[in-house]
Amino acid sequence: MRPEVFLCVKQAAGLTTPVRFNSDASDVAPECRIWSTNDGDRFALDAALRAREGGVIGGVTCVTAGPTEADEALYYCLAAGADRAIRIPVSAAALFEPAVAGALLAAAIRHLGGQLVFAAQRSSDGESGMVPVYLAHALGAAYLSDVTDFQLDGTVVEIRRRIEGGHRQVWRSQLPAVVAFDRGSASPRYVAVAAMALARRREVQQLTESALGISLSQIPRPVRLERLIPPRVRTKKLPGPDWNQSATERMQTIVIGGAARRASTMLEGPREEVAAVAADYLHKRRLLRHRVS
Amino acid sequence: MIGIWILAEHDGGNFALCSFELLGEARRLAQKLAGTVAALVLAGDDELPIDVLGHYGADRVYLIDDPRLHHYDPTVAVASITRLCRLHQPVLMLFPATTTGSDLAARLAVSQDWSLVPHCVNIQIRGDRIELVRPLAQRGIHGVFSASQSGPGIVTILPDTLGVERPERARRTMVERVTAVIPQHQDIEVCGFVAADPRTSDLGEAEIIVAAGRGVGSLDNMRLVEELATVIGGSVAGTRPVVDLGWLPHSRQVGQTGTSVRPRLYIACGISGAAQHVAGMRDAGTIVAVNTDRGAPIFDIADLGIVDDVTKVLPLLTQCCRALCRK
Amino acid sequence: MDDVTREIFGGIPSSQQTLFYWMTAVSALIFTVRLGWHARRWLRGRRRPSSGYNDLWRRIRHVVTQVFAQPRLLRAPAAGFAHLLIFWGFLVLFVGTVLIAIEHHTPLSFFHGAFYLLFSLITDVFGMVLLAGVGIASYRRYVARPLRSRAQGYGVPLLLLGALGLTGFLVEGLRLAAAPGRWFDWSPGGALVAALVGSGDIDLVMIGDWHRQAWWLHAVLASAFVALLPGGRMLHAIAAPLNTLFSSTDRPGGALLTPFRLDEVAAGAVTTTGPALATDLSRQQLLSLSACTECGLCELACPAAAAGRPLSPKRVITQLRDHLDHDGVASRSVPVEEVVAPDEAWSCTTCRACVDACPVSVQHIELVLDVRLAVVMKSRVEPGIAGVLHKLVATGNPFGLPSAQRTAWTAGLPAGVQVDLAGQSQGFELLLWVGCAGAFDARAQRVSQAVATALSRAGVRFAVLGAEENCTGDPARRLGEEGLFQQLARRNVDILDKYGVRNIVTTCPHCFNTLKNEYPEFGGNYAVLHHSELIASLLAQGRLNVDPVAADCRLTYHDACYLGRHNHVYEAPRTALVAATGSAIREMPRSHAQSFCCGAGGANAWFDLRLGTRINALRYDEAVSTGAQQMATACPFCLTMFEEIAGSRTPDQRLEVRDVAEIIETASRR
Repeated sequence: MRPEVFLCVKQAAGLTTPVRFNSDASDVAPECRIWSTNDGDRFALDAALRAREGGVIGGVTCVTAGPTEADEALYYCLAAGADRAIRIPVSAAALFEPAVAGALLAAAIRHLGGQLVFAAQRSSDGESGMVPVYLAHALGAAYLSDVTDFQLDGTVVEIRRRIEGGHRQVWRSQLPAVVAFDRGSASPRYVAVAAMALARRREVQQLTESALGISLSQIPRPVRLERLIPPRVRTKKLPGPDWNQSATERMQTIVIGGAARRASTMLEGPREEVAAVAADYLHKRRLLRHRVS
Repeated sequence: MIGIWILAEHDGGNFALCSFELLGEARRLAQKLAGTVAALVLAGDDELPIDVLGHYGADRVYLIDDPRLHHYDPTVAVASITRLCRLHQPVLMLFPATTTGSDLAARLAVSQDWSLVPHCVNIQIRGDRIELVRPLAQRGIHGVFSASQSGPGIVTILPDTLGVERPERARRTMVERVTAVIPQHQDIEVCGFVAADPRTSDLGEAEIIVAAGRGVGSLDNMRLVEELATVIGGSVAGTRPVVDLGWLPHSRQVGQTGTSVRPRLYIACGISGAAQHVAGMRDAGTIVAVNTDRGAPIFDIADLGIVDDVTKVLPLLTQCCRALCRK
Repeated sequence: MDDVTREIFGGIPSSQQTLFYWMTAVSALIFTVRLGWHARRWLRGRRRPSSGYNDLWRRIRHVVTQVFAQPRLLRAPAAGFAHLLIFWGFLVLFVGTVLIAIEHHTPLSFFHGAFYLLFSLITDVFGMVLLAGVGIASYRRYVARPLRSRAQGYGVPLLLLGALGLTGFLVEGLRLAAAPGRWFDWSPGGALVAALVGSGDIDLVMIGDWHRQAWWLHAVLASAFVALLPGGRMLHAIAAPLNTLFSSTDRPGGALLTPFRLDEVAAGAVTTTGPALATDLSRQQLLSLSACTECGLCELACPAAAAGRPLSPKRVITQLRDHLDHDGVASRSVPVEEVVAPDEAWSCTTCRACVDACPVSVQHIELVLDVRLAVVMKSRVEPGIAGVLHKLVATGNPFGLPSAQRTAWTAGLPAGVQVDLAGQSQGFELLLWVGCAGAFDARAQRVSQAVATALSRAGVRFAVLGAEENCTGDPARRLGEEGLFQQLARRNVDILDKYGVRNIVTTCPHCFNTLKNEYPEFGGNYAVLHHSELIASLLAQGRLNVDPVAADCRLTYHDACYLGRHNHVYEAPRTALVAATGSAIREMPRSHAQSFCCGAGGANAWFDLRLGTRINALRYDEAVSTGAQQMATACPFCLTMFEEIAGSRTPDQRLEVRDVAEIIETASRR
C-alpha cells in the first residue's frame, strides 16, 4: 500500500512599503499584505509529483493553514496535479509564530492519518525553517531537513540533503517522516494561468480548529511574540545579497537599488603584478577555497 | 554562572568564520550579564586549533569528540548537547544559521521545549528578560520575542552579518573533553557522505565559477581555464558561442538559454558581456572579468576588471592563487 | 447544321439504361453514406470560440481562386500544372455529363447544332487535357519519382481517371466508327480512335457490341470513382474547398485563433482550454486533416525542416490524421502531445510559410500551437521554456529584468531629442511602443534610439509608456500560454486606454502584429503602424528628409516574417531604404512573401532547441549569396539572429546588419 504524501504549503505574504499596523499593532494592516507563492513549496510539490509519477507514493494531498487568501497556494498545487486540497482557517497574524502553524498542520495530518509529510524547509516570508520540526515532533515522525533527493522503499525513507559547499549527506529513516525540501537548483514546474483559473473552481476542504479538537490559545509556545516593530533594527554589517532570497526579494533589492551598478576596480599594468593583486583581492574576500580532503 | 554558549562550526581543519562572529557577540552579551562564554565543538577525530577559539573570546570549550561526529549526526549531536545543557544550564545559546546550526538548534529546541528564535538580528537584555528580534513577512517588519525561562534560549544568526572582533592572542581557554551520548534508538541513520565535485556538479549550485568566452581563443586554451578552476575549487562554465564551438557541453552554458547561476565568485575569461550571457550570471556575488577590450560591456558589471589577454594572464593568476590557497 | 446531334444513350437498350440508373443510384448512395460518415466525424470536433472573422465574400473569393486557379500548387510547376490539367479536364467532362443529363431529363433542348459541335470539341479537348495531366502525373509518380511525389493513396484514383479518360475516347471512337457523320472532326480524339478502329473492315454489329461494352466499362469506372471519392486521398476534392471556405482565411495573417477565453474559464463557463486529447481538435481542424493531400509544399517551405529540426508541417497533419483514422472515437484517445511530439511543436517558428504554401488552406500553426498549449496546461514544459514563462510572470518581460529599466535606452539619445512619458506628456499624437527587446536588449536599444531620433527630427509629438509598458504577450501566446497572453493583453489595454492612446508605432514586428491584429479581440482598438511604415509615410510627406549616400552600398533586405508574410508590409521598408541609400536593393532569392525565417519566431528566440543546424545561418548564407555587404531588417530579433552569425564568420563573409531605422537615421542628419 503506497503511502500518501501530505504536502504542507503556505501562501507567503510580503508587505508594502511603508507598512502600517492595525489599531492594536497586533498585525499589519490587511491592505499592506502582498500575497505571493512560497518559492520553496514548488520544489516540495515537484518532488511529490515526481514520486507519484514514479509509482512510489499513492497520492498527493496539499494542506495549508491561513485565511482565505491561502487557498491560492492550494490551487497552485491542484493545477500542477495534486489530488486534493485542505485548509485550516486561521488568521495570518497567528502564523507569525511557527509553533502555531506546526501544531495546526500536525493536527490535520494526524486527523487524516498521514505517515509521510513533505514541506519546504522554510517559507519565503517567515523563513524560520521551524514548522517542519514542530510537525515532526507533534507527529512523532523523523525530521529530515534540507533535502534535495527523496527515495522511498517500502517504509524506509532515504534522502540526500545539501550542506554548505554543495556536498550531500545521505540519511535514512523509517516512516512516519517529515521531509523538508531545500530549494533545489532545478527550475520548478510552470503552471499556466488558465490551469490556475480552472483549479480555482475546484473544492478546498476546510478543517476548522474545532473539527480538529485543537484550540489556538492552548498551543504551547516556548517563545512568545511580544510585539511587532518596523524594521529599524540593524546588525553591525548589512547583509550582502543572500542567495537564498526569493525572486520577489531580489527584485525588491534591485528596485530599491541594492544591486546597483557596480563600481569596477580596473587593473592594468605589468602582468605579474596584476595577477598578484587580483589573487590577493580574492583571497582577502575569502573567495578562494582550500581543497578539502 | 551565566553561561552563553556558541556552536563553533569547522570544516575538519579550520573553524568557520561564523564561529568567531558568534564568539564576538557572545562576549558582548557576557560582559553585560557578567557571564562566561563557552564554545561547543562537535568533532570526529579532527585536528582543530581549539586555542584560537579562546583568542576570539571563549572562556571554555566543550569538545564532543566521537568518530560518529566527523559528519553531522543529528541524534548523537542532540543527545550530547542536551545532556551538557542539563549539566551546565546555559542561559543563552548562539548557533550559526547554517544547515547544521539551524537543524541542530531546531531539534534541540523542539525536543526539549526550549525557546528558539531563528535568524535573530538583535539580542536585548531587559532586566531579567531576554528579548530576541527576528524579521517577519519577507523582512518587512520585525517581531520581538521573549524567551521562556525553562531552559536556555536558543538563537540562530546568519553568517556574514556580524563582524569579527580583534582576537586577543594572550587569552587562554579551558578545554573540556566530553563523551558523546549515543542514544539507543536513533530515528535517523547517517549512512553516507557525497563530496561535491565542482567539475561535475550542477552549475546552479556552484559557489565558484570560472567561465570561458570566445576570447579564450581555442579549445587548447581551455585547459588554462580548467586549471584555474581546479586550483580555486571552482566549476568550469562557458558562453553560448563557446558551447556552439564545441569547447564545452551544453550543460556548462551560462546565459539566457543556458543555466542561471548565483556563485559567490564568477570569473569571466574572454567574455564580452552580451546581454544574453549577463542575464544568466548578473546575480553573482563577486564578478571578476578578464578581457583585452577595455570597452567590453562585461566591465560594467564586474567588481574587478583585468584588461589583458586571457591566455597570458590566466596562468599567472592560477599560480598566485595556488600559492595563497596553500596557506 | 442545326440538326446535328447525337442520340443520348445511343446503342444502349432501355433495359440497360435502367440498370445504369440503378448503378448510378447505388454509387450515389455509397458516396452519400461515406461522405456523411466523414461529415459526422468532422462535426464531432470541438467548437472554438467564435473568431469574429466572417467576411464571407472574401472567403468565397479565396475559395474560387484556390479551387479554380490553384496558384499555390503552381509553386511546384510540373506537379501544379499536371493537377490543373486533371482538375479542369475532369471538371469540364463532369459538367458535360451533367448537361447531357439535363438535356435528357428535362424539356430543355440545346444539345444540337452549333452548341453540340462546340460541346463535342470542348469535351474532346478537355478529355485530352485530362489524359495529359494523368500522363504527367503518372510519369512523375512512377518514373521520375521526385521526393514530393511519393504520397500514398493516389495510385488507384490516378488509374481510375486515366482509365475513364481512355474509355471515354474509346466509347466516342467506337460510336463514330459505327456512325460517322460529316461533323466528327469536331471530336478529334474520337475521330482518331475511330480511325484506328476502322482501319480494316468494319463489322457494324461488332462495333456496336464493342461500343456497348466500352460504354459499360466507362459507366462502371465512373460509378466506382464516385463511390470511392469520399475517402482516402480523394476526399480532398470535397474537403479541400470546404476547408478553404471554413478556414477563416479572412483574418489578418498574424492573428492566431483564440483557443479559449480566460474570463470564461475563470467564471466556470468553460471547462476545457484546448485539445488535451487528439480527439479534441476543433471541427475545422478535423476537416483540414481530411483536406490534406500530402503534397508536401508546406514541408518544402518550412525553415525548421530545412534546418534539420524534427518538425515537418506535413507530418504533423498526417500523424494526427492517421491517429484519428485508426482510433476515431474517444475510447482510445491519446494525449495530443503523444501524437505530435513536443520537440516537433517547439521547433516551429510560426513563420507561416506552410500556411501560405498550402493549396487546401490547412492552418498548421494552430495545430502546432495546440500541442504547445496542451503541454503548458499539463505543467510539463521543459525547464528552459518554463524559465522564460516564469520571467514573464514575475517581471512582465521575457528577459526577467525590472520594469524600471525600460527607459534606460533614452540615456543614449543625441542632444535635442527628448522622449516624453505618456503620463507626463500633454497631448501626444502617437505612442511609441518600445517593446521588450527595444528596451532591454543592448543592440535593439540602438534601434529604439534611431526611431526616436527620426521621429523627433520629423517633428512628431510622441510619448512612451516607460516603466508602465509590459510585454504585449506575443511570446506567451506563441509558447502556448494563452491565459498569460490574455492577462497581459487586458492589462496593456487598460494602460493604453488610461492615457487615451489612439495611434501606436512600434519597432518590433511581433509587437506590431499583436497590437494590431490580436488586441481588438480583448478590447484594444488602435491604429498601429510599424516604424518602417511610419518612416516611409514621413518621407513621402516631406516631414523627414534624407541625404542618400552616393555610392552603391550593396544592400540586401530581409523581410521579417511578422512584418511581411503575416502583415503584407513589403514596400514601406524598401521605399525608405531606397530613399536613404539611393541605391537599389539586392533582393534575395526568397523575398517578399517567400521570405525565409530568421529562426527567432514562435518564441524560439527565448529558448535554445539545440536540434538541427541554425535556421539563421541558412538565411544568412542566402544574404551573402547576393553579394551584399549590408543587410537591412526591420525586426530586433532578426537583427540579433543575423548578427550572431555575422560575428562568427570570417571578415570576407561578415555582413553589417542594421535596422531600417538606423539606416534612415544615419542618412537624415541635419
